[in-house]
Amino acid sequence: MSAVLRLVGVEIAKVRSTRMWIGLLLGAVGLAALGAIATLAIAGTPDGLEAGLTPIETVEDVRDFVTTGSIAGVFALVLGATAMTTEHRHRTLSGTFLAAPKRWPVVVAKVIGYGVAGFAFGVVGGLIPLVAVAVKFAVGGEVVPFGASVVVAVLAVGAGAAFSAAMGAAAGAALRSQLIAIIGVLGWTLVVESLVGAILPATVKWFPFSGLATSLTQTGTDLLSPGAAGLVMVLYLAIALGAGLAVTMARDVE
Amino acid sequence: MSSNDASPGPAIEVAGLTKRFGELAAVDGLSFAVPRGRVTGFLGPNGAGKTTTMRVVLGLAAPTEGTATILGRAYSALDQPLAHVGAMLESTGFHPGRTGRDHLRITARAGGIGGERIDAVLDQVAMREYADRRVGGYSSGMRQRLGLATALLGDPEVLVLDEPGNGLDPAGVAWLRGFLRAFADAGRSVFVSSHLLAEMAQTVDRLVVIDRGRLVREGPVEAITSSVARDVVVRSPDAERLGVSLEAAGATVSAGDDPAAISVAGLPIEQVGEIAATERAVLHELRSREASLEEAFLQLTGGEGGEAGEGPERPPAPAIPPPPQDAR
Repeated sequence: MSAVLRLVGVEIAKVRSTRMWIGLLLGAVGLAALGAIATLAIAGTPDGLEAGLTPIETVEDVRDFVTTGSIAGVFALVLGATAMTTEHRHRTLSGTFLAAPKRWPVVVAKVIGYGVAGFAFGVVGGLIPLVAVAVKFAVGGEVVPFGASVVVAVLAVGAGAAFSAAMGAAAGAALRSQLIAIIGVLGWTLVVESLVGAILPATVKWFPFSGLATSLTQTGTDLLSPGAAGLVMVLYLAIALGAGLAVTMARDVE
Repeated sequence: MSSNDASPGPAIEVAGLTKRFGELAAVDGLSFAVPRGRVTGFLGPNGAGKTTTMRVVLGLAAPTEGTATILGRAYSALDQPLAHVGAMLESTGFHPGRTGRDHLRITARAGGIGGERIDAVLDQVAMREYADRRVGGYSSGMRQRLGLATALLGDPEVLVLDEPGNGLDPAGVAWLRGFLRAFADAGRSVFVSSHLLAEMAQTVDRLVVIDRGRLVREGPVEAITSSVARDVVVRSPDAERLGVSLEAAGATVSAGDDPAAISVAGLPIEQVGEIAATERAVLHELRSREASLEEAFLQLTGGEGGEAGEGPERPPAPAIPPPPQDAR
């Protein structure tokens, strides 16, 4: 276990040693800010009310508004998908396995390490709408409604992004091409889940990104409970990790 | 002796190793040993299976059959392998967006090596000045030096180097030669592949020669070069007439650009001299010629050679000269 913990630190150091995470985080912050500002601009207006965007007035409103930062999870997913595929792309995997020749701890460390990075992405993503709404209240001379549930919501957004990054890392371990990995995870998230969800709405709650991640931050009759969603997420992650481990253990390193 | 040192045997031992890629056997029943305290060269034409063998030795590729051990164990069974085995493979890359220092820091941490070794190895390969630049801006020589620094991080007792001279300037190659010699003289072991045969001839104590995945010859360099056919060089104004007589006696005679010089194979030098005396041929030169490593290599593998040529004498080289300022 100590080897895995050491390698988790190595993976986080790898993420920090290049600029990719900065670009992805800026993308996450930018989109979260854009979404938050747009929502604040129309919430409570006739157009907004027509779209179901009521004014943000209570702690519960702020809590729900914070979840718009979940868009950061998409960037965390892409970050995770690069965990192993970057090693293939730049032919650094042999160096990695020369330093740590037992392969399973490396793969597990990547999933955990990128999960930690994804959590940070999610927390930042959750904080962006909170800051935006706080600024709006401050401009009006008021203090934003705040409570423990808002903090929990920010952490839940972080947990959803952590899951996305970890899934990306695990799935990416089963692939060699970075391009295919990124297109694959984005295609699944933005296209497959959307299309199938539109055709079969009852299945949405089982989808790893649009359904389960939402279950962590919102409640509804068409969603699993946060606990059940968490269990299914662990199951999905175990399956993806199993596939990533199987491929990584069996494959020769170039 | 470390906890990894499971046996007093060779530094590296390959036994009955076969590695197939589909129908193709890249390595076919290969067996050899790399003794401790020696520089062992690994020679073979392109595609002979050298890199594949090294990858199997280092646990990066699984053998189809046979075993490969370092210090008596499979590489993956070594505790803190970087502290015992330093490796540099030709195909290993670096993340272009990472600095050289970060690359070493990450590798050291992954291998359980103390960070204090980083500056030491950067100094060893004269790269400290460039360590905080991103690798994407390095020249090929700088990358090669960074690869060597990575291999040296754990102050290992065994070095496995795949074409370490590629991309190095002549001063760097000379340093490498001296470094490997000193490394082995300190009782450590080097297993090095290279296509620079002149460099190999000056650097290595022993050779493992393979072709098409199979062992061709293994042993001390001198034993290998002397085991292949040598010839007799004759320089004479009567070379053409003498050549006819030598061929009649069963020799194989070949002529070069110089019409006064012939190369005689298949007869001992004494008999060549006797025939010259019988023919009353004037001799300007009569000498036996040892096969160079390149000639031995070509004869043993029956084909492709490396970059040949006589190199300079082995120089003492305590520190590598700095790389040229040609970073991209």
